[in-house]
Amino acid sequence: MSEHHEEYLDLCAAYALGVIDEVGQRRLEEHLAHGCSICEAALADFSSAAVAIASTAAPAKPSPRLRERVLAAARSQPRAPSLRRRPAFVQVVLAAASIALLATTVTMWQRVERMTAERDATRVQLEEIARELEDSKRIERLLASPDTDCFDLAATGTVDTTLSARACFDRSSGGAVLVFHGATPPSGHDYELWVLHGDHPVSLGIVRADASGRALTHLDAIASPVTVTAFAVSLEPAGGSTAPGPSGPVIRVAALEG
Amino acid sequence: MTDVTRDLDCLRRIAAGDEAGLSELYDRYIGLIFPMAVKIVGDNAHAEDVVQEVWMQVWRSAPSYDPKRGPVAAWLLTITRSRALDVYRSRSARAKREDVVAKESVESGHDPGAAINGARKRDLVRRAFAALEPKKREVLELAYWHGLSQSEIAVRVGAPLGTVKSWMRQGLRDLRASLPEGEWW
Repeated sequence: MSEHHEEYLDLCAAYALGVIDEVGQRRLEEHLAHGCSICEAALADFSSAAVAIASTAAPAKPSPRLRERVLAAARSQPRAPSLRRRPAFVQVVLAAASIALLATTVTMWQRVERMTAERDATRVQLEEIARELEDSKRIERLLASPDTDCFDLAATGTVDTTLSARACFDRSSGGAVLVFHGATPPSGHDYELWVLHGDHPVSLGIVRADASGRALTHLDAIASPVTVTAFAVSLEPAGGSTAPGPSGPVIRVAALEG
Repeated sequence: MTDVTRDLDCLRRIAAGDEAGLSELYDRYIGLIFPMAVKIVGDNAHAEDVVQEVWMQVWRSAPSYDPKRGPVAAWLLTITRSRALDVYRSRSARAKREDVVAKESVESGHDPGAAINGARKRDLVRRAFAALEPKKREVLELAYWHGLSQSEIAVRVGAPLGTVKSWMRQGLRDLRASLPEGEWW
């Protein structure tokens, strides 16, 4: 079972409306491949709602010829050998075995579905491993850079929290790695990471921790690294701030020297 | 046999090359997908081309349907919407489409008898959709009928991306909550 986050529900909504992007779709499918009853239920609900939107279109009828055109086109592209084209004796044999054949077909269908799902899940895992390996190499290069500074994000004292955070930032390339411990927000909340350019905050996303509360955020290139003045973490409602900046208390911060 | 099991049975038969399965599914859903195609591409002739492509895709890719991703109706509509938006974008039919949308908005009380499951359900859905908060309704319309991404919608309505995502999710949830449980279509 994959851990559920509110963010996945946004992806479910985008999926049902057909506006999900490639990255989002891959993330959602990976999440669903591990099983998530909350998202499966949400997808069913959202898909039904999308059907409702479709049914608000004004009634329209196609010409009666369309049905025949569709069936004729299908006939010209047979998906499987047609029983009608087989010799009569074969039809007799197949008819006698029809119940077994039907059962086999259903079983095969389910098996193919299962194998396809397993193959897709394996492919996703391999891609994930490759991505993680590549990511590790990039982090290694970043940490080895002479321009990289490492520092802790200090507690502001606004909220009593177990969260600790340390950042390594290369101002020349904009690369950054942040490591979090104790990143277990109160129920219904998320920790959100921010970078400040002067006084202007830009969200770097929700801090996604594992079950032990550890998280690692790697950013290849923060835009305009020379104007970065601080990193900060705020406590936000689940899903993150809907405002342009933090909407909840800032609980960790590190100001950088200019 | 419920509608859901009947749909799945049709798809299994289609996957096995059974034309009758395709015929049955066509009859069940043409009343839902054709109006959608017309609304997006703007006229019946192009909508018929779209619908023919949709059924050919169903014929070829029935084995790839995954019930966990939503009901068969939603799958058919996703294919239809995608094909129709492709045609719409490629043939600059915006003016025609706007005409259709505008015409619909002033004819909202006309006879919906051609809808797949009758006038009552259609009116129910229309009322539920109209009752949504305006911002939620707007983002759903921009996404579904105009094919705009969440980022494009955020720019169009002048709201933060996170807010647009939230409206979209809540709009779908509110709409679903206002419809009967189970297989309402």
